Amino acid sequence: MDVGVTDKIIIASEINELPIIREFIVSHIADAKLNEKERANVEFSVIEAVMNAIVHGNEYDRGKKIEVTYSGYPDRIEIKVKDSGAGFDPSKLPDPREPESLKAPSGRGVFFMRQMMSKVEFEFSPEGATVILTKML
Amino acid sequence: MDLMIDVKKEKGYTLISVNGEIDLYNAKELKDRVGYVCDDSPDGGDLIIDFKDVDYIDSTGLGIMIGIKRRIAESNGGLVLVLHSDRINKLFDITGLKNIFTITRSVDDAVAALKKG
Repeated sequence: MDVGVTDKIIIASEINELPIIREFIVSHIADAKLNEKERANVEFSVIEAVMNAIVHGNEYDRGKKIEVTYSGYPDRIEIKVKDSGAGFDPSKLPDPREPESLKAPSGRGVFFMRQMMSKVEFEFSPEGATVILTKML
Repeated sequence: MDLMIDVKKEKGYTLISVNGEIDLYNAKELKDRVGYVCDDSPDGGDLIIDFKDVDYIDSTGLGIMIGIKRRIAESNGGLVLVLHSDRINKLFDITGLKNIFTITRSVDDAVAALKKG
């Protein structure tokens, strides 16, 4: 059975809320069994997920909230980022390394998350979209 | 998340030194500053962007760099990025962006790359 700690923070859909999320994540992963590079990767991935939630999910609507939940377990950490968006089909995201996408100004966020985390999952419901980022310890 | 941008006209090129973080919060500031430089050199000028003390760039920042590259190319200028940080080099590497940008580790190498064309 998983025994872990869970904490949650809710922010408005504004880019100047990003430092709050950074502080939240950095403080939680400070004691996790991760090296410096892994810690930077987790921080980077969470910020990318929250940026996607602000820009694409909630479309900068400050009335719509973003919920970030951190859970720490003996064998992994898990961060959920939930917005109010309708979601998307993750399997249809183009590979940004392909020639037709290489010069596109956007479309690298989920790619980075997949590169830097152990697992990236999506859940979509009428209430919104959630990305679940997992890093094994 | 502060960003400091210093623009210096050198003989044959403009050197833009960037300190801080390039992210969703401030990437547009860099884009605007480069836009002013391009407006001042409508006949095409070469540009070196030195990520001197940049320790963080996110996907928005990378997108802005692609826009800057396009803008410079439109004015027939050359662009070289000086990336000091291993981590930032890695981001350009894993996204394949190292294949579309000229990247060096020092300003001297960037000047040499511009001369080579």
